[in-house]
Amino acid sequence: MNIFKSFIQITWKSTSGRISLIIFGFCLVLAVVGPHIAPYGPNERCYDAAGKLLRLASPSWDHWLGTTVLGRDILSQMLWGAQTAMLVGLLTALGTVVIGLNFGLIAGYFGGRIDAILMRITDILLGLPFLPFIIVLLSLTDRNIWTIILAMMFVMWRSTARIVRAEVMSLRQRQFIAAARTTGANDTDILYREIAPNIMPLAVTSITFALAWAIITEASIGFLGFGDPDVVSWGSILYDAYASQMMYRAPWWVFPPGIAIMILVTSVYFIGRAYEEVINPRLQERM
Amino acid sequence: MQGTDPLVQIQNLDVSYYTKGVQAKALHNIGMEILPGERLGLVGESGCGKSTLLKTIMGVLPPNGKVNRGSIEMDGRNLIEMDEKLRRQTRWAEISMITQSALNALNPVQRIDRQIIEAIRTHQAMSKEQAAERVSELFGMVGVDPARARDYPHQFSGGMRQRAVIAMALALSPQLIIADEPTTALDVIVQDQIFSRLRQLQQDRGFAMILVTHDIALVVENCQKICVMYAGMIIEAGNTRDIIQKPRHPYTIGLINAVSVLGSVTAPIAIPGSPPNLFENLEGCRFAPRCPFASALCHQKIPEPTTLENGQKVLCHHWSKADEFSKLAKSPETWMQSTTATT
Amino acid sequence: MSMFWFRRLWQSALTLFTMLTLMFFLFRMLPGDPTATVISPALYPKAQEILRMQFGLDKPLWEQYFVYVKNLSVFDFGLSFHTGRPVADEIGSRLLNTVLLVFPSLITAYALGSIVGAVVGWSRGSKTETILVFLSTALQSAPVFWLSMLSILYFSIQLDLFPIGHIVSPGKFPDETWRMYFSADFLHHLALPFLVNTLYQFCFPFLLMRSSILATVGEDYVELARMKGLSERSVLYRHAMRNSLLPLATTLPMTLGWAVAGSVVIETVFSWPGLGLLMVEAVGRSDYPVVQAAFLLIAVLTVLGTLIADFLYTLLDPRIVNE
Repeated sequence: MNIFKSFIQITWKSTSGRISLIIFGFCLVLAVVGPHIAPYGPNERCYDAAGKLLRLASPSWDHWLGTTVLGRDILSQMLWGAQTAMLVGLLTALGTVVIGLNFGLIAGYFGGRIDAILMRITDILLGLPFLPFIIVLLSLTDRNIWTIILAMMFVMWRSTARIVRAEVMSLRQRQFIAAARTTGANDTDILYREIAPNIMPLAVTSITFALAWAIITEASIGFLGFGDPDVVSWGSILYDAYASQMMYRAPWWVFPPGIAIMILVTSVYFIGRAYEEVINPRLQERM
Repeated sequence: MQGTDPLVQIQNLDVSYYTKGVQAKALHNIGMEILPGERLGLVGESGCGKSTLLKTIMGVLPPNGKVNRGSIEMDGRNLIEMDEKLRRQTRWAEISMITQSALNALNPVQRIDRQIIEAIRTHQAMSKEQAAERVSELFGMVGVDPARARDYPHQFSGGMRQRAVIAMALALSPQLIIADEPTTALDVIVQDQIFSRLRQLQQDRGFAMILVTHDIALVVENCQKICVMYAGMIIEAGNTRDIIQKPRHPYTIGLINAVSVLGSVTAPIAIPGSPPNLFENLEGCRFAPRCPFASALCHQKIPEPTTLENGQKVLCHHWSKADEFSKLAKSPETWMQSTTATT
Repeated sequence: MSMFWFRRLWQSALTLFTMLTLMFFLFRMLPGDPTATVISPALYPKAQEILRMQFGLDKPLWEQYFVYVKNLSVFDFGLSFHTGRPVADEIGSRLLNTVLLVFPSLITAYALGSIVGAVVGWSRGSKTETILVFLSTALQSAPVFWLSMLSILYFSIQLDLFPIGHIVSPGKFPDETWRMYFSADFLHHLALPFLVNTLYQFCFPFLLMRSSILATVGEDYVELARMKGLSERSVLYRHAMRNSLLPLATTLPMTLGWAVAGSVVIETVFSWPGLGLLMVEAVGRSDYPVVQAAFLLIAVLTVLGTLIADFLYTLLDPRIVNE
């Protein structure tokens, strides 16, 4: 919690960080309450007063963002989709960084054979085609948002691990580690009490990157039609629009999901950057 | 020495940095001159404005640095108001520089000869072969094997790099060379070798030199004249011998005090405290907060420069009491008082 | 050849070998009947049996693996489950299509991105800088398939400037000869996906170059270059940019392999018959020999790219000495 608090405090210092935090917070709130305030269900068909299916209705008072070719309310779909994007994004980012952080710490600290093996694993993961590999993983298992999260985590931790490892290797040489060792601290203590706290700023920036990536990747999976068929995501809205071949007649169908992703991910990037700008000179001072 | 015109004359120079609308007065009312073939030492702690002064003379102030007042005259031209293109032509050709950290000053991914050739060919119509020849000649002058000219900077030792930087500074036979802490990173023996080489070159080729350093001992060994800077101002200037024997400013007294003299009984005394924050509005003498002899007047009014009959200039209200100060300054208690009084 | 390069080559070979082994087991060992992913359960049992034998799936796993490795060593990737044609034939032309789309746009994006990034970073604090940094971050945050859809909506539908998709007009080159790549029709089809991809890929090198130029601005050697009397332009191009180019020049080759993999979405939107689209189609049809071969190809590209990157690094930065 302490890290979280200081993260907010640090990011709040810059104007772009503040604006981005507000935007991100707004999206977070929408993701939580979205399904409750959504006027229609995500796959509910809407009919007009005459009982006719509302196909491709342009935005109106009843349907702020219009409807899809199957008569679904786009605003409601967007609100449900916000939940998916946020849930998948946050869990994936968190998992990615936790795995990457631990692998990076272990590889960087112990070095030698453990390091060599872990680095070969990241080599292999780096050599795999990112999105196609996730799709293969998904096509071989049940397709739901949990397997999507797992599949993304499985591939994404590699970058965090490499960055953390490099940092740990330079930290390992420093005096306070040697000092801790002379006082008889064991490896676990040194790793998690002495080194890990110094890696935290790095981990926090990694989380923002992972979050941005996870949101875009989740959308891409949905767009390629490999998403959870029971859950609406911003990517799957775009997939429906594209696959229906009707997007040319209904631009209101295409704009909202893309704009939402863009705003959300941009805010995440700017939060990461604002944090880094404050934290980096401080990191350098400590060196 | 009287009838000679100064090579470079700086008058009333004010330079400020602006960060987010806040002004830091980095240089205030700087005046100094250097005669042809003269060796001048510029002394001060880090952050006193030495680097800003150099950058202003070289015309490479960062974008947030501005010259608000004053002039730098060379051959009857004011460098400050010069057209940028003409100004560029004077750089290195007329004033060159031996930089502080030779490791960082040389571009790490370019061969050394190429970097010197670049300097030559920017100013002189010379073929690459001729310029390369010149590089060999220069390497000979500074005492590095010319065969090593095609090495990369990281292949050189610290001393060799410094010599290469000196070779670069000599490349266009400028009238003035500024040496900015040229030997800080080197061990004492190499330091001595480089300085004797530099002095010899200076005498042979007759260029003027400004030696910028925090180490007053180096100035005493190498320079005829000295300027002492503190918090963006020159607080004392004159012939080295005069100033070492009779410093008139408490800060100079402190600086000389801080140097250990071989065979002396007393330990060197450092001046406690640190220079003022230039972003703040400064009233009175800038040294007053650290000065053990400061009076109420010192805290209120900036002293006017006074020129003594031997040409020594001093910026202190109480310069006439300097002899007394010098005696008091010998005891460490004097300096302790000043810190307790101001904090 | 030095010890370092020998070790790097050995490492790369080992990585590739591990990958092809993993891939073999991945496609056969995942939950469920391994043959079910390969042979449609909808077929008659008799037909299934024949297919099993044809693809060697009736043999024990270790034997299959042995055959797999042996075949790979002569670039035999097996037959496509879907078309029955050799996988190598299926993939070859698709790879070319992807390369023609991705590589030129990646190289254009890196060239433009580094120049614009350098110029913009050099004039730090300018209004143009703020705007460009914001725009490229926003662009990078948008899903590229969405940008592609928008570009189709506007340029193809609204303005009717470019075709909606495909590599050439249907029926124009019925036998898909190499001649098609030299036609104006091909370029016309290439233009829009090329532009979108270039614009999207531009962001990363632009932002990276800008920040590494910002880091060089205060370097002593840059100041020295200025003191030498070089013009601003020479200081920027010969010193600041030359040095900041290092991280970019070395990421470019690594990116090539990823870009082939990353072309999946853009190819889907533009119906561009490249490797990315093929992979998605093949996964959809459970045509695993094709997916497997495509993965291997991309793995080879990435590993090669990493090797080239290392090599470029030693070439461009004299400080790196590989023992």
